[in-house]
Amino acid sequence: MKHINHKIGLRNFIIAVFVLMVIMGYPYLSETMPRHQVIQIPMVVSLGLSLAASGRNLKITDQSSGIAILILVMASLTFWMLPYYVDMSAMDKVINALRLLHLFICGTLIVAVWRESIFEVKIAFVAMLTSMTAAVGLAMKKFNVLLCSSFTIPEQQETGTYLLYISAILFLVTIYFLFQGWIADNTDLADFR
Amino acid sequence: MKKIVIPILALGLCFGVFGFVTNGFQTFTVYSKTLHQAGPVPRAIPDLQLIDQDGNPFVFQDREKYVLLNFMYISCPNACHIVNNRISEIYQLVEASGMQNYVEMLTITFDTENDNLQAIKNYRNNFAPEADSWTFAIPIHNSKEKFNSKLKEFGLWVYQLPESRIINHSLYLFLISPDNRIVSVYDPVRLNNEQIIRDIQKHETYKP
Repeated sequence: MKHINHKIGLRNFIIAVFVLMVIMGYPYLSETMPRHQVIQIPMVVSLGLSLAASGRNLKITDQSSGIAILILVMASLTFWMLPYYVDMSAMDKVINALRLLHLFICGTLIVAVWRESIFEVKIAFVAMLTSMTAAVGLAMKKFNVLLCSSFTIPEQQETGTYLLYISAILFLVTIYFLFQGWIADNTDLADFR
Repeated sequence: MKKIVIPILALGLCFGVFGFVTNGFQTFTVYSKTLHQAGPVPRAIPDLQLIDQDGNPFVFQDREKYVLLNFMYISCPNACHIVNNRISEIYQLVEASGMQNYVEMLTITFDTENDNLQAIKNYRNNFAPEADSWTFAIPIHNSKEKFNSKLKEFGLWVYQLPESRIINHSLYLFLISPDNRIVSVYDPVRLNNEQIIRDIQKHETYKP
């Protein structure tokens, strides 16, 4: 009973942090581009991940539906990276709240799918996320043209640098999953022999 | 088969949504979206009353040549000056190819709070002291909102950063025909000077 109360407390805490972030975070978290893109997005997705991870019931067992959901999650993350929607969310707190809610749900869905996904799906998802982050980061760092009118070129380039760091971390995560899968495969093979 | 259909449908849905929100994968930024929303060219120009650097009022209808139009503000950190350098180069190409009787340049400031007649006259002298066919102008308007809506009719996005004098804006160049229609829009980031000149020459009424 005590164990369950801890979980409920953790979930309430995560939801409270999310609500506070949506209500109080704007405009501070949208004032500069690194805050808007590099802090808000990973933070809100992580909150969604944590909320889903705190309960074991949320899982999608059908592989086919799981892949479809991961495609939609990837598209959602890409959508909020489009310069037009970066601008709209930076200028309008309602759109920003919708963005945060959308990304929060994406975080919970990732965990729900992840629990029953096969190795190949996991590695493909992390690899796609890595390449998307690296591509956006590189474009922002190298473009000498302002892509989002709510910010400045130095902020855009700074954001690009941070996204490249994040993509490097995601790359290491990809490598980790790859080797984990490879070791598991070899263990199975050794057991068979 | 059924296992493949659901992910493919999800992928199709994503492409559909992205295609829709980007107007067929064409408008990814607020600048290109605003230009798209203004409509296809040729289209009529919004009516703007202007004052040139010498204090003479005029409207587009007074012009008899093609006008290559750009917008700027003097305290811009860099982009406006880079574009005006490009206009200066295009001006020289226009003169070199004998098109000066058919094409003129017009640069309008949208920072009507800080850019006055003396300021634009001094600024013009930095770029084009000898250029007879390059006019710098200030718009006359009653309210900033009305002026901004006119700019949107052009297809121009303008946004002043909060607590800052920086105005982020589209960098497009507009070619206006003598019958007062926008006939071409050029993105100076994507096109070089020669491509712009070649396009100006393509317009039917141009006869050197």
